[in-house]
Amino acid sequence: MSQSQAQKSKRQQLLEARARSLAQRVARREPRRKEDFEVALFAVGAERFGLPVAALREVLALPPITALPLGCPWIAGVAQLRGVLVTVVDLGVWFDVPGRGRPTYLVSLEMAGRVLALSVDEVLGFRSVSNDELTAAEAGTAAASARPIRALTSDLLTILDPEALFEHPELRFE
Amino acid sequence: MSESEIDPSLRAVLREEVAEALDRVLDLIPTLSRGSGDELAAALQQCFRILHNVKGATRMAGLDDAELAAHMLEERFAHGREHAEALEPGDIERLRRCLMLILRRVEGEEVSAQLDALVAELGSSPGSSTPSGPADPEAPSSTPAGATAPPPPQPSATPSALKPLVRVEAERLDRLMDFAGELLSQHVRQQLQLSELSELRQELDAVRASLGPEARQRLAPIGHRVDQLVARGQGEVGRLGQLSDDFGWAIKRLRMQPLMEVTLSLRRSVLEVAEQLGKELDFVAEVGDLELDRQILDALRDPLMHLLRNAIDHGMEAPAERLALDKPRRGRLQVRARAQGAMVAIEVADDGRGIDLARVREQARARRLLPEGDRELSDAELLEFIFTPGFSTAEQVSRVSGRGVGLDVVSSRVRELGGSIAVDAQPGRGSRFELLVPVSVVSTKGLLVKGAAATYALPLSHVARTLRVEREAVRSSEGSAAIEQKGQAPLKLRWLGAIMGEPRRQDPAQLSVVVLEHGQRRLGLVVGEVLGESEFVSKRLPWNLRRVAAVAGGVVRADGSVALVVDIPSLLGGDGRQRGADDSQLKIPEARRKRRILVVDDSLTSRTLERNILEAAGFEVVLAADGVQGLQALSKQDFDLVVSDVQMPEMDGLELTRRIRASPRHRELAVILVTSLDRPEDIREGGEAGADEYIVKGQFDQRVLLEAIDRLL
Repeated sequence: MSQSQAQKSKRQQLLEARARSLAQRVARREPRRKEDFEVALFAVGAERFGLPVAALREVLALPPITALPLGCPWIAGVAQLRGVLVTVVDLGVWFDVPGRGRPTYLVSLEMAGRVLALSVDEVLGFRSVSNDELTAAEAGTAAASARPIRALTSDLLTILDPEALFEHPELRFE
Repeated sequence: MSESEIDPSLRAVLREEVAEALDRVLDLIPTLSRGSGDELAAALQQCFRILHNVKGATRMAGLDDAELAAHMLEERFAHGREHAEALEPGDIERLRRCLMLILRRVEGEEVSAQLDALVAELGSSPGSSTPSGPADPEAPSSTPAGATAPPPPQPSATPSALKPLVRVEAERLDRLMDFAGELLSQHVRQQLQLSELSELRQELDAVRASLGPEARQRLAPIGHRVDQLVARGQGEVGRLGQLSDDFGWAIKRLRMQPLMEVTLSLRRSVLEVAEQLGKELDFVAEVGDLELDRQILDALRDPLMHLLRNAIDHGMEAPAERLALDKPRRGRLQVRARAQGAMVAIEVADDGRGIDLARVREQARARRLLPEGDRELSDAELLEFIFTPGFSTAEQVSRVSGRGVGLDVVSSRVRELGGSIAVDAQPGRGSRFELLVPVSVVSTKGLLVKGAAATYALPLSHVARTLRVEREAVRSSEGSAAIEQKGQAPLKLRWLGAIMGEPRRQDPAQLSVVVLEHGQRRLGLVVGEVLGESEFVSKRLPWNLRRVAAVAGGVVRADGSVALVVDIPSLLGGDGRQRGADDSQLKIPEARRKRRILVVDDSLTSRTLERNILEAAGFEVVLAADGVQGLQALSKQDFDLVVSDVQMPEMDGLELTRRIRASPRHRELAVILVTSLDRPEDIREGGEAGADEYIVKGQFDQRVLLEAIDRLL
């Protein structure tokens, strides 16, 4: 087994353990149903985010990021993923998350052939979310309506809306 | 030989050459049939040379039947030329028919029967010359010239022209290119790991030395195994490097397409537009065999058509107006291209009314683009304004209504490609636009520099030189920092770190300045440090960040980080007030360069073939179409060797060789003459002129040429 594979599986084990502990309560209480959907869980500062796995491309250790002269602090810059330049969005800055640390992971999303990446502090694993535990995003933080957020769960997990993310005017400089 | 056997890129070149030959012969026909004296002799001579080229070209492409027909016709002309006799109507008709048939043959039509019939006709009619013996340099080796029977099939002269082709979706090529870039950085990463391993090995030795004998003994086999790993790693990393180089090169080739494909399609549109607008013009495309990356070629199509349409609509006068101005009734519209290192310069020129500078000045004043104070702008500076967004250009300047899409669009398209555009116009004489675009998007040479803290890449195509300047020498000129330069306008300065929004740093006592140049504009870019030159693969910015000021893209560095590529034309072109005219001669820093060879040949096909051979052998090749162009090329850059045809218009290869030998600067330059003339006296003449080698086209194959080059370099 190569070094990177070994690292990966070690990280994988760690992530799975975390995911299990986080997802346990939900999984036990409500068996999986058709309308449930899977999200990847990650933490930025004091907040936890969920990204529907359909839009998830990969999770990797934070690569070097090059800043751009955009005057827009939530775009951390560009990074190279598999030979292609990808925009890195600093989720903590964008959502003004309190207590945010140094991002250590990159979560990349893909939709209709386009790729975006989010820098996050921690990756927590996966869990399934059922529609009835969701509350409307508007009810959440004041800034939520302007943010690509689909909903909040009853335990305050912020579910991102990938489509809105890709179309968000604050991320586009064309 | 069947239609599918000709390489399409060669076919396109050949088609253009034959089509042009046909055009020129048609122009000559009135003189050929009715002229007399010197005029007739000149026309015959010209026609002879055209046919000679067509013959050479068809031979190179392996079209034996077309070659034979051209040969027969040439024989016919040799007779007329010697006796300075006008051609009979029958021969004129055959001449026309022959070239038409060759053109159709080149286009892949099955016309063998007609060609055979024509060959038979030419062979049997009076005036046909006798078969040529060994003294005739032109006879195809295995075909008795003048024979009435079609020649036996011959093996092709160019095996490379026979390869089958596949169509590939452009996007897949793009993916391949990304992989090539990644492979390159992977290679560098492995190198780094390997050197780390070597360092560990040394540390191990150091630790061993401090241990007791028993521990040393136990560590010995471990050290040995690490040594083996290092050795094996070195071999593998070396091979990976080779592979990644080869891969990159192959992809570069894969993406290349002849520029002529674009000019051929433009030709049709140009003639249509001219007809619609009632303009009479000749469209001349001299783009040779230059090839560009497909992506660049596609992106150039619209800007070029835009410039051409502008020229026809606004530049070119109507026939009556031209006559009144004492100009030829038919206008001339030209697209010419030449290679310039890793860039291609494409010129679009017309001989119309030019651009009305007074109107440009008026417009610029109205739009408050003129500099403060009373400094008068030079004509060249004024002309730059026509690329300003929203500037009403030619249509009003030339008082002709028109489509009026701004030239700024053309300019920004070209800039997106990493190129630049410049204009030059003479009132009443015409205008000339020059586009400078990179040949390839795969890799670019660039200067790596530091801004405040981050690293950036500056494409070398726009870097004139670097200097060091005392901080105290910085002055203020027209409201911005500048340094004085002897005999020149002050060089304005801008700080790269500041442009890129990096935190400001204290300037050192000495500033590193990179002088950027684009057309006539110059700018001194203050950088933290010049790190050196490198070849890199430039990547496009992500889909959502297409417009980032001053950034053209990014390059992936060895550690996987991204260095931004500075958009130099935008830095220089953004603000009319920042322009400083300066046309002093500046030397672009020479990269570790490949051996450079000048190929001089008036046949497009021969040039293409020779260039392909030489480039494949790793040489940098510059092309010229005759001796005069050859000399011009020699005066502009240094070459290691010249390969020249003998028979050429303007100045032949012998004269070129004599001039080279007579020039103090080029006296030592190696010259190879490649020609179809193989009589002993021809070879002697070549030797007397000073040629080092004499290669006869009949025996021309790449091995002979490469061996000769090998001997001389």
